[in-house]
Amino acid sequence: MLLLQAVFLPIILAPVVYLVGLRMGKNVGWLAFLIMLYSTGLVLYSGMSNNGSLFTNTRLETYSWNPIGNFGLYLDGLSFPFAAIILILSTTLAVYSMPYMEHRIKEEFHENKKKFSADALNRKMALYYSLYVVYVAGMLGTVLATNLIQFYIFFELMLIPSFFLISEFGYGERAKISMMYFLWTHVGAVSLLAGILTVGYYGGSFNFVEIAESGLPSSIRVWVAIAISFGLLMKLAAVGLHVWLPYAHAESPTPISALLSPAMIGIGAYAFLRIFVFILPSIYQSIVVVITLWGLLTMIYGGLMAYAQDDIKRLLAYSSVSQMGYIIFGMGSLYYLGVTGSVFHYVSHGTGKALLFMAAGSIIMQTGGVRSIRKLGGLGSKLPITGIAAMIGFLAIVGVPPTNGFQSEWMIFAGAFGGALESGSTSKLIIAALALAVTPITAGYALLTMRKVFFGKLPKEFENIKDPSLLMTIPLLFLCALTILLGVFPSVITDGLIPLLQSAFGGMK
Amino acid sequence: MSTEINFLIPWLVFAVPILGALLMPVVARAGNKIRDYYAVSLTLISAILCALMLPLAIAGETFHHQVMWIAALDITAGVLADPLSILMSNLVGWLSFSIMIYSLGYMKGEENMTRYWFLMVFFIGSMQLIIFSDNFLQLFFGWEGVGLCSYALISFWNKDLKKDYVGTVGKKAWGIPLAFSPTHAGSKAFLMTRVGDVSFLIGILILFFFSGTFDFVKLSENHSWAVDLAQSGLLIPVAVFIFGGAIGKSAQFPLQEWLPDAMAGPTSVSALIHAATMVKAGVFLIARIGPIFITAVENVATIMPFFEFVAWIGAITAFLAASQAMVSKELKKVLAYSTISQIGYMMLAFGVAGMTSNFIAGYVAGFFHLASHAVFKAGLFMAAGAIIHATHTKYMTDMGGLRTKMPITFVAMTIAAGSLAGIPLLSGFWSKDAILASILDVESSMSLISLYAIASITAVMTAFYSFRMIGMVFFGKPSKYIKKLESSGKHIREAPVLMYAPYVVLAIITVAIGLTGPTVEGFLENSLAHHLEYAVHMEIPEHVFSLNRIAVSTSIIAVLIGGGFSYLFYIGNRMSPDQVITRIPILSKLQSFFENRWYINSLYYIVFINGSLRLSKFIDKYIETGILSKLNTVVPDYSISSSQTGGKFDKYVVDGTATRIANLNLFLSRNIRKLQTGIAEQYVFVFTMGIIALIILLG
Amino acid sequence: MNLLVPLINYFILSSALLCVGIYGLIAKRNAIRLLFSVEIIINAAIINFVAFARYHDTPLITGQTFSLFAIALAATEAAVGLAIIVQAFRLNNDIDVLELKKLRG
Repeated sequence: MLLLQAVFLPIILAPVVYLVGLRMGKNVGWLAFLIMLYSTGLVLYSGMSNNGSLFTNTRLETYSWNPIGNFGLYLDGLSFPFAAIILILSTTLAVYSMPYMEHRIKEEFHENKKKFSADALNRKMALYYSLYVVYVAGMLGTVLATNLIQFYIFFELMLIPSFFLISEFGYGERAKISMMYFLWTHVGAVSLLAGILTVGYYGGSFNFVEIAESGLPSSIRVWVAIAISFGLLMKLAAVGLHVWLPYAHAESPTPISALLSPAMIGIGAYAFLRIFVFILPSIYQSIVVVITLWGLLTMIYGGLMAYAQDDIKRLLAYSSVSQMGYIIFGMGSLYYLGVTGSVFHYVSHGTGKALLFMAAGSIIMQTGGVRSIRKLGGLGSKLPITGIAAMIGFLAIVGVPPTNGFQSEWMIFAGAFGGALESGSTSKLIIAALALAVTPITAGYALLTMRKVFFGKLPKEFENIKDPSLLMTIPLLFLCALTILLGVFPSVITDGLIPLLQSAFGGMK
Repeated sequence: MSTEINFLIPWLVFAVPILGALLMPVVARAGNKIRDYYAVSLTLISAILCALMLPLAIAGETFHHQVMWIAALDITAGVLADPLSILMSNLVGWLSFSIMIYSLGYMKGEENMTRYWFLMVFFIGSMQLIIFSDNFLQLFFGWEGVGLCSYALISFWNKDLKKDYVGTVGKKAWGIPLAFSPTHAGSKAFLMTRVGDVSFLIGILILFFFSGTFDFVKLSENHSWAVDLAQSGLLIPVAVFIFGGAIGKSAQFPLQEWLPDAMAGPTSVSALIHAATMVKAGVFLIARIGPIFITAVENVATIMPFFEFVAWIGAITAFLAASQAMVSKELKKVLAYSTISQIGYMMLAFGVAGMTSNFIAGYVAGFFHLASHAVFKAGLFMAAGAIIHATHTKYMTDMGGLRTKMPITFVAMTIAAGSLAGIPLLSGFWSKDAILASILDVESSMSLISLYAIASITAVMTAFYSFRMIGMVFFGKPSKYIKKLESSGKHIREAPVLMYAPYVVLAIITVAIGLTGPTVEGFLENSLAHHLEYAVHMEIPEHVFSLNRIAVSTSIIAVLIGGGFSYLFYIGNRMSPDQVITRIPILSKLQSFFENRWYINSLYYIVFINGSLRLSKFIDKYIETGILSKLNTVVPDYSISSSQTGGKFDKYVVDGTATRIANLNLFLSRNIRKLQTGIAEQYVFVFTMGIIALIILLG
Repeated sequence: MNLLVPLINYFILSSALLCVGIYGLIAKRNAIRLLFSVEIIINAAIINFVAFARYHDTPLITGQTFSLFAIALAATEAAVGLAIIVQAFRLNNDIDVLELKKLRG
């Protein structure tokens, strides 16, 4: 029952959150925090094992759900990192959202010159948090699903609250942008659905473990691969399909950006791995070259675009595109270590990008809404904790030890080299070396942004700003510590993951 | 002597500074003085722990301890305390300690000292981590750690005030300015070393695939990886890629451009990081892996190209940097270029070691020069810092005649400079001589002659710029700047004790090593021979120390030529260098070429920095906003317009029909109403007519 | 028993009276005249009754009985009608039926 509770309790309690929020206003965030904490605890407990290494337990809960198959929740080495990060980030951000959203809602009222009242604030906060918990539950459900249809349902389920969150609380032309975000990802989801239905029909069942890949006739394999990849890569914002991401992530409210960017788009990677590596291995082998090249292109494109940005949130959004490129690249390595690196990179990008968005949010809040890098500068002396958080976030993204970003990066590239050397292909080797050679692009925009924002001269209007309240700084510090801890002790993630992947890839050779 | 050590000691050597640094903000709350002493004492503890391991080095033994790290991949973390690492760590540990003491005086009155101490101590810990790591992955942690601290310390004065810039503001080469703010210099250092690190990673990841491990000990025990690598033709590339990391970290050609600009940081930082320790990390890496590679191959000839590569990079760098030191006007920049050049010598030595049949000669020479250079260069930097502090200027042209005003500094600095130049009976003479001697052992005569020639010419240049520096600072007449300073009441005084004590001690050590040169060299050879025998099972023949006549005479002649010229120009003031340059036009062309850093810096900026920015703006303009955004808005616009049409349809057609039906009703009723006139007569009439009609019909 | 006058004559008489009565209803404006017309129509009906009863195969007494009823009812109805007209006159001061059209639809 544990995983079932973890997924459904937030959904069931969402109306309660709304009602409580109408009364309590911003403090309903604590209720949301407790719900998230409970779910986190359940997932971590389910993953804990007692054989020396920390999180290698697997857990399966199934319930019959005719005629689609079984409704199941499965926590194993692959889904554990995803689920853990989603929940840890959500829990942290629930606390962070409290002061930030209050500020944002007040700002919105000022913009629209509506009359501000405590009731209106409460209503909006209640709406925010009830949508928030449903959104998190949706994300959690996708990574724990054991059935293709169930997966699809949760996939769409996480789309809807986020759509509302952006359109209600976002910046700029939020109505159009939330509509655009919804349309793009929905088109992708529909393509995914087409692929899923085909697989389920020919494979014999929708349950992951029961699908027989051999049932798929060879003529449609290519189409299935294209349909599913299209859908998932849209979510991952691979280059060409990435257009929605800068808008959505830049204009959504910052705590939601911090969830959208690291947690949600990575679910595309999870689905990719689960479906292709475990269920459809032979199709996977035929598309890896495309995937690798696409990943490389995304890495370069996202990184280069980040240089040209002036808005700090758009820059982080393009950085996410680039980092997803790393993950895609790792997935194409056809080697267990590379895929491990991709999953780990989800984790480290998760903590790192969340840190960066939270720091950006802190800057936006404390400077009164300034997002343009040109107008910022010298903030390091006034916002030290924000600066440290941003630095560690950037280090995680660049891949510098002792952050977890380094562990994920070396594993991705070791996998790329391993896969290339194993297949004896020189061109793959050159691609791998090339990919590693473009990582300084990431270092470039990271350092440049740090310099422009935190060092240099402090503009006069920011003489009196200081670090935000504890409710925002403690989550920042917590994630910093987590980033470094995972960087020094990666076993937490790898112990459960590597044996699983080694066996999966061993079966493929 | 007992050679047992507690297994914790090597771990603590780096753990104490790293963990202690993390507590710095907490300790700072107790007060500034307590925080300062806490930082210095952390360094002292670490240095003492290093010293405790010296008996091991003297006996030539090794201590190795491991723990499991990433279980699923069978990767362990561990410490490897062998003579190489123990000697290196003692050098680093004690030099760091002396520089920390120097910092107490040099950074007095500065703000943000908590950040400074944190970074310095964390740096020292990371450096020790590099030294004691027993595998590449763990070493990389320390490697990046020192890179991070270097970046942060170079950018220490991060308000980017104009007075903190390095280089002369306004000067340009090929349109690229030659002056950089501290934060810019820091970012540049980080980025350049990152390029080196990428190369390093490529190397060790490929190696990992072939050998299944990062562990040095395992790599030297089982050599099957070398066979596989050689078969796939990747042996030399892998070695070169790993060396790439050393190129970056040690500022060798082609990644040497970050070091001169790193002088934007405080001088104590320059002394620690850019003279004594971090830049030596690359050399240390080669010292670690060189023996592994050379003993792993069956036939030395397969790996020799790698060592040739190392030697040539070292030689080119030495020459390149020395030429730029000869014309530099900033005091710290001379020392920076000198460091690059001297490290080139060390790389040359290690490279040559692999090109001869007498590996140990080059190996010892390189290490000896590493040690002696660390000592005198740290001293030079600290003295330079004292001078800059006293005169408030970084330009040598603004100094002059300081030997009467700062006598202690004058003596210490001259000794150190002399060691750099290679004056006999100072440490630098012996170490440089050892390097020259090892070159003479090279088998290929073409390489021998060319490398030896470059080394000798560079020795001439080294002597020249060393004495030029001394001459411009201490001799001659005080410059106009100093006269202005003095007349406004600021007198130039000798440095305080806390500042001059460290570099005086280092000068004394330089002299001591110089006087006992052969003994020191013999000791090193002994320890390192044991190390090589144990670590990589290399056969080392018994070696009796002897002076190589050719090498000695070359050194002395080089000193005489170089020193002679600079004496003429700068110390004795017999000739004016500017006059000579104007008389010989090619010299002035050379001078500006060197001053513009051989245009290498500008080239990098134009190609990489401007290139990337332009590329990204281009992509942004044409692809992203041009094509994709337009594509992006088509769909929502279309959907919005189609929904508007639907709305219209709904409003007019659907609603309209309902309304029209209702209106029809109304119309009909209004008209039918008219029948009810209320007049009974008419009702009767109609009634009757109806009956008649019925009758007719029925009838 | 063969009678002197054929039945049709009586029928013509009552029809003629009917038409006169209907004409009066339609064409006259005075409410009293409408009452007269109604009386005439009733008389026409009574003549019909009596004639058809007499000329039956076996002469019936039903018609004549019924005509007595009809006369009584006609009187009643005339009284009610008069009462209404008197009330209407009191309210509207007019007994011209064309003016009494408040009950129009």
